[in-house]
Amino acid sequence: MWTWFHRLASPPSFYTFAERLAPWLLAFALIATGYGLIAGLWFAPRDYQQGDAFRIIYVHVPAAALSLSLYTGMAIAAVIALVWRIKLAEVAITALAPVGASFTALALVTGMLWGKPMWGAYWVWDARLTSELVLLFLYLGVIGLDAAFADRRAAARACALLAIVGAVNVPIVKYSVEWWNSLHQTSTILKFGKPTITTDMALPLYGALLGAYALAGVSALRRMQNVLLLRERRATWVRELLAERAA
Amino acid sequence: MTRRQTRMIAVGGLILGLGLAAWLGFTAFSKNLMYFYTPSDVIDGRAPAHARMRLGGLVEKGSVARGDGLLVNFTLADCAKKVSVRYEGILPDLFREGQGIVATGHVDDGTFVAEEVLAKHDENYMPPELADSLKTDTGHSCMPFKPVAEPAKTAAAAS
Amino acid sequence: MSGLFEMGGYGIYVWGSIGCALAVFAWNLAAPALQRRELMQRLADPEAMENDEA
Repeated sequence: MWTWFHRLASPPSFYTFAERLAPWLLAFALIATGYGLIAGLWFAPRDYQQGDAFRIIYVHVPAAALSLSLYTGMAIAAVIALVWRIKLAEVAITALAPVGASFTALALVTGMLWGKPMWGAYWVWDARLTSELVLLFLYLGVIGLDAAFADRRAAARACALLAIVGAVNVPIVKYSVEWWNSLHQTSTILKFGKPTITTDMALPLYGALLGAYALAGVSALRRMQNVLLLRERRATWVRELLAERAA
Repeated sequence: MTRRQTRMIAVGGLILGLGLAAWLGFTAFSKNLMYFYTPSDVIDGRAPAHARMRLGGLVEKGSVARGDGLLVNFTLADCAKKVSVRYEGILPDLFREGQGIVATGHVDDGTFVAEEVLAKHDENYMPPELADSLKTDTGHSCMPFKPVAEPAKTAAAAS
Repeated sequence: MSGLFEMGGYGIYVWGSIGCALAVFAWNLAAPALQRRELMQRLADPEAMENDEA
């Protein structure tokens, strides 16, 4: 187990592993997202309360779930990078930040487009919306910090610290709607107990969720490959790879 | 001790310290993170007396009375108490009896005069036919409207 | 069929959200692919690489 893990964490074998995995993950992402969106927009019944406006759930919930999952992943990579100094973990921080930032922005924008017709306002400063906005700034902070250092190891260490400090915000976003009064409603499916959504509405949502996770996975793998190529550009395996391509 | 173990302890200490600081911060600022007061807060004097504030609750069944033009009177209730509300303006699409509402305004002579009314829908989704066949009232639960005084206790009771 | 575009009057919000989502999905796939193509070209030229500390 440990030897397998160590071998995978070496840059050339991870590069090869990602190269093999990404196309399959992409195919799965397209199928699942396609099913989720088509079934959600077309075949799922309209909601008794919100009518067709509830269909925004099929993009809003996957985006919001990813914004938290990707940050959690980034914070775990940050702990590994700080304690074990594994290069691949440092690369993961750099690669996950832009993917997470894009899904956080998507969660905010789709939330605003959902809030206007249903709540009556694009934006309110309640605990959920405010903490999700803080999450976007944390992602942008990691991206900015990473770009500010010329030395890659120093950049990784600074980003790892920020990622760990910012992880405090993840449970706040998740539980804000239960701990405090908010305009945002509590969780429908990502909670303990029975989901409070009927099956014909929920299945497309699970499809869209799985699809978005796979798509974010592909994006993160590809970005990690790019960061590895750049950081290891003088290494033999990269030179060989480039020579192979040229031939 | 190896250097890796030192780093492990340092990172562990950082995480522990952060968690503690965060917990202390929330306990201290929990009240400020509440988006709205509830009817119970207003009746029991926990809400600011004349200042502008937000009031959240359920529109009581049978309480909506429309007046001239856009004027509307209704009662907002949480699990325990109720407050009458006066509002003149455009209501959100989701406004109906039994619906969760967050209104911005101030208390004037025992009545809450609202300047803005937002709808707070719940986390339940179902097709209209099912909602009809359930026959039970599709009004919302009063549980999300937590009095500001004891947020932790009511949250625990809700879960 | 027309109901699908109108979305019961909420068409602009629903389709606006879907549009934003598709744009983010596409960016997440396209950006790393473009970056990689550019990177491969740059790294393939060893002389250019020595001067540049990217």
